[in-house]
Amino acid sequence: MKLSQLFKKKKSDKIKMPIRRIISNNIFMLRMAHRSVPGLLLCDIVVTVGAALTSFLTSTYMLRYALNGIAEGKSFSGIAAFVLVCLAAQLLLGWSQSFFYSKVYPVKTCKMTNDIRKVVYEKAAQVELGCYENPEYYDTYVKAINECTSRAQAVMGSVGNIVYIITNFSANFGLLLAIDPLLLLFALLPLMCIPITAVANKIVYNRNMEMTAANRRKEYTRRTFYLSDYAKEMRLSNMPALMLERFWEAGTRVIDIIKKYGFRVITLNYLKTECLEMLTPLSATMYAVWKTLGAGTMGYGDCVVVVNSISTVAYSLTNISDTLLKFQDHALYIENLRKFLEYSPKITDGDKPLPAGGDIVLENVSFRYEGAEGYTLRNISMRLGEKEKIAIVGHNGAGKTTLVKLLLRLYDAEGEITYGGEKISDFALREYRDAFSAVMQDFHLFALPVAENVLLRPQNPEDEEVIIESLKKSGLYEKVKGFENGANTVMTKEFDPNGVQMSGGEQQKLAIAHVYSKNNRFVILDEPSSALDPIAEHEMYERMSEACRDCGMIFISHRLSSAVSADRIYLMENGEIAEVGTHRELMELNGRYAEMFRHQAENYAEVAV
Amino acid sequence: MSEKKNRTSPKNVLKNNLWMIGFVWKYTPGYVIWIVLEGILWGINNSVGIIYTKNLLDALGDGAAFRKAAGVILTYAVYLLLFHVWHYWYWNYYHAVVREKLHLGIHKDLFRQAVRLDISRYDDPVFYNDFVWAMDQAYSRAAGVMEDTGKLINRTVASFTLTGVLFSVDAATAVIILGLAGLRVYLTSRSNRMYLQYSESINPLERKTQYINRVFRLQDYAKEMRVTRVSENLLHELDDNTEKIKEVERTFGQKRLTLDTLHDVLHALGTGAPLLLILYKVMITGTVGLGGFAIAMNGIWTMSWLIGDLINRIMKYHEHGIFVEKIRCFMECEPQIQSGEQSVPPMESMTLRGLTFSYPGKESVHALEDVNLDIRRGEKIAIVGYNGAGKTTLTKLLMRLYDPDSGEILYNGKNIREYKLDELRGRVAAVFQDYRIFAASLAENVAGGVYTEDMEEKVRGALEKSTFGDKLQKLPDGLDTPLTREFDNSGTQLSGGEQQKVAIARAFFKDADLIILDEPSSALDPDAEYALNQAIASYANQKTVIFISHRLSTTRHADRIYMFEEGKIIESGSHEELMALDGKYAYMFNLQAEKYQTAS
Repeated sequence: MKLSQLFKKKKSDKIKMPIRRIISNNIFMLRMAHRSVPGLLLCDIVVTVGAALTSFLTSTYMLRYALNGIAEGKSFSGIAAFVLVCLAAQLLLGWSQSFFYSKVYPVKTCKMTNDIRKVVYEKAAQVELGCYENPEYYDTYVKAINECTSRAQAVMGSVGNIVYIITNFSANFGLLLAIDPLLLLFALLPLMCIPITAVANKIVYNRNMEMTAANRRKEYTRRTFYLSDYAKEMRLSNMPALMLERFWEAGTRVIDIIKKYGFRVITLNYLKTECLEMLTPLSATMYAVWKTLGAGTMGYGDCVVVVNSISTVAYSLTNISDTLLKFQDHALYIENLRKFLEYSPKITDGDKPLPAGGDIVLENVSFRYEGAEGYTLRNISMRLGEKEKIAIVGHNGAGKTTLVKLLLRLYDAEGEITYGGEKISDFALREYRDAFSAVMQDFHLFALPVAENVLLRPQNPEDEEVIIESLKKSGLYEKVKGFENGANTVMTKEFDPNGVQMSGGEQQKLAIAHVYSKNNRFVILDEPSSALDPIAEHEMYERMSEACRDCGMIFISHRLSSAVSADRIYLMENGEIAEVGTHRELMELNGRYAEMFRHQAENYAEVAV
Repeated sequence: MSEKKNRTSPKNVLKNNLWMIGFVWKYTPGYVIWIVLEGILWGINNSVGIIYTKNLLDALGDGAAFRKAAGVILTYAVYLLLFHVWHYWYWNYYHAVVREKLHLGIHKDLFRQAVRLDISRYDDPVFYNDFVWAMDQAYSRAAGVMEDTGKLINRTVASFTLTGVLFSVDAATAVIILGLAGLRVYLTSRSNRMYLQYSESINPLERKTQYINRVFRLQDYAKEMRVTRVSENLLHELDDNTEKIKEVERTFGQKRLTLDTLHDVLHALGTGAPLLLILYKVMITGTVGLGGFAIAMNGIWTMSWLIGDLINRIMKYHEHGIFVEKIRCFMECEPQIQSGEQSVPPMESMTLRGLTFSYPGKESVHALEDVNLDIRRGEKIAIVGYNGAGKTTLTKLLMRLYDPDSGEILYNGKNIREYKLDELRGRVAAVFQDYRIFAASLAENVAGGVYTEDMEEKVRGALEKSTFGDKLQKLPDGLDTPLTREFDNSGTQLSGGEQQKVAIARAFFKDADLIILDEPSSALDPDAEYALNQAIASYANQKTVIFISHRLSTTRHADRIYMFEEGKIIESGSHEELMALDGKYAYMFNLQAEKYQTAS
């Protein structure tokens, strides 16, 4: 995660975001919440107001009533009755509050989070792959996804908070005003410290900012020590010493930064506290005591109320400003979510139905990754026949995998790609992609049952046969049959103690099994055999060609031996097609392909006698 | 079950928390002293506040002169001014610095311990979870224990003062307040136990949700998510999981409500009963004055807060105790692979006798079974076979990342267990299938640790040999180029093949006697593979090399080839011998060679 970016952006956003946007963002989030669980916020507010009033009633008002009652000579039973009524009210409201927060709220928010998540995830699966390469967008995207789980609840929490504070404040404040309007002045004193707080916050923010880089380094170092990925290297090299040194340096830098800001932070916080915790309550107390003992115009009960609740009022005021700032904070995060949800994917859906069949033709296709300096692919023209076996070979970085991504419309490129004579961007995306099965070089399996990893779509009861058949073809059936729950066994032990952990080769076989599980028009294999041993590789190719008799097959490899039997071979170099032809033609051409082939064949050549 | 009980017995909780304080003492003794002082000072501060309120209300209740009351307020003001100077120095300066020092100190030891531990520990999911957890939480737990200790001292001092004040007003009221506080202790402990059960039920479900979140977020899965319909499966999973979470919430909702209600009742009683009692004493018996009434009221609320917090802190110790146990376990865990005494001479030979090994937790399957082989200095040994045949496992045993279950590995005729572990590992360089590039400079990545200028020539040489030379020319910062974008957005992200070359250069740099290459060419294109083979061949003149591959073209020039199947050596000999044998090796080789033969 690009933490520094996050903070940098946050800072500039903080200044820029207008109040209207802050409000509108928070409302946006509340609306989303409302759609999912209507009425929850209203209930929350009602319960909160009740809680705030009870708290006022039992702590401040009851005391005042009793003290004034004594002074006015009310009867014991009268005061006691009032106290009992207050306590009964407290119990009743307290119970309804407990009921709401223990039984209703958790279940409702659970539904709400789930609904919001789904909206976000569905969007996430839609945006084009290019978004991942655009760091700014990806940042927004990651934050949006992370935010969607908790932000709605946080906004509701802040609303509840502010309602509580305002209710409690109003009640206390109203009472103080009723006692003596001049007390208002004291209650406003804490406002003085708002500028101090602003300066203090800014300095603390700057300090934390300065620490970010060092903290990030520390975090990374920690990972190298505990992740199993690094465990072997950490035991066989001197990396631990280097990493420890780095960790130490970073920590020392953090200490220096704390020291550097130390005096300023201390002073500002000191001033803030004196203003808030000392000046306000003590001066108000002094005034009330003077009115009672000196001037004799204030009742004893009222004076005690002032002593007790002036701090509450003073705190409430600064709390309100803190809570309001929270909304600003929420708005910044919601902004990411909104931007993300309002983003319209660049890879757009067409409406033409797929033709019954046809070739895929690329004409002068060029492609540049967003933010990259040079073109990854330049002027590519090729034909991928309906039932042809096409090999694309070339060095690492020649652009082979990028080409595959264009075929699958994970990106749109310059130039034209057509299928059956029509532009591929005119087709409905889902329908178009369904025509393909692709096994990527860096395929990933999911922590789902084996069967679902084969299908890569929700499973129906009638799929069983397909699953067995696919597993058989990819040579994994025997293995899967041995699992306790067969094809319903969950992959990885992460969530299921009965889950299975497969070896690299087995995982690849499982990825390949997916190809067999559906009707494809084209099959794309991007280095699918890299983790397979030679026999498995051989079998895989045999079976795959068998299964693909009626569909096009595009395979990418740098093991040239697998390209030999292809209908056509495209040799790619630096993003361009350097040579085209069958194996025989290319060998006769005696160019780059022939040279590469001979390199690889060399070690086998003697056997060929 | 009995074990669990034992772990949370009060004696153990205390022992673990004391251990943690000792642990902190080791790195920052000043912090421990200050925590105690801070607790006392804050306790005194709270007491001063209580006494101030008492004096003020007394003065008011007695209808004293304004000057006297003003004096009380002003004295308190001066006291606060002074106290806050100390307070802010402590929290914003001393505390921040000492915490960072503690963080550094603790991690230094955690790191050392982490690297010492057997790699087999990583295979045990339970241990690994605890291990990651210990790494992650050790510091915050230490800080938590310290903080709660400070607060505990503070609350204790303050509640003693307050109890004294309350007794001075009315003994009966004080007794009621304290008695009800005792009931709250019980109730809170029940709530905590329920909360623990709740987290145990909800955590696995939360983990699953996080996994789904990860899949939608990470680029790794992005392609599959678009090309296939697997996102639908995951959304179903999410729904299922949410239903399960709701179920847990419902189950615990009722329990929560019961406990909360009891709590409320107790709270109401705790305020109501003393209030009515003291009201009675003021109005009917007249044994308590108005001032005393106000003080008692004030005291009831403060007391109920103090006691509540005190209970929470004590309960926290309980929780700390459980987690500290894990950290202790981690710190005190002794690796099973112990270093021997003898220093390691240059390698002459390595002999494996009857080696049998199973991974922990998978004892039913022999990863290796009765493996015998001999390696002499300067030899090139190839290990070939199916995936999962035990090839990689064998190399891990050679480096003593694991020790065999039976059989022995002899280094120059002596069991490798007798040698010093770090020296032994120093004699071996390995490029793993899953090598790692570190977020450090290129030079440091090649040097495999701290890099100094005098290593430059050697580092360049190693990169040259691993055919990384061309790329090096293109890097503007040369050897100082930061690799990965972990910290530095200008860092260089190498391609898979390039990364592998750096990993290979790391092995060359080490100048070891034995080099192990586990599928070194899997991410390389044919030209690079060819060049690399040449490089290894020239290097092999002086070094012993073991390489593992399933591309048989790479291994055919080896002095000896061992073919593995299901953990056993099924064939061994030179390429020619094995071809003559016409067994599995010959079958595999022909299969691969076939395509090249017919075509060229």
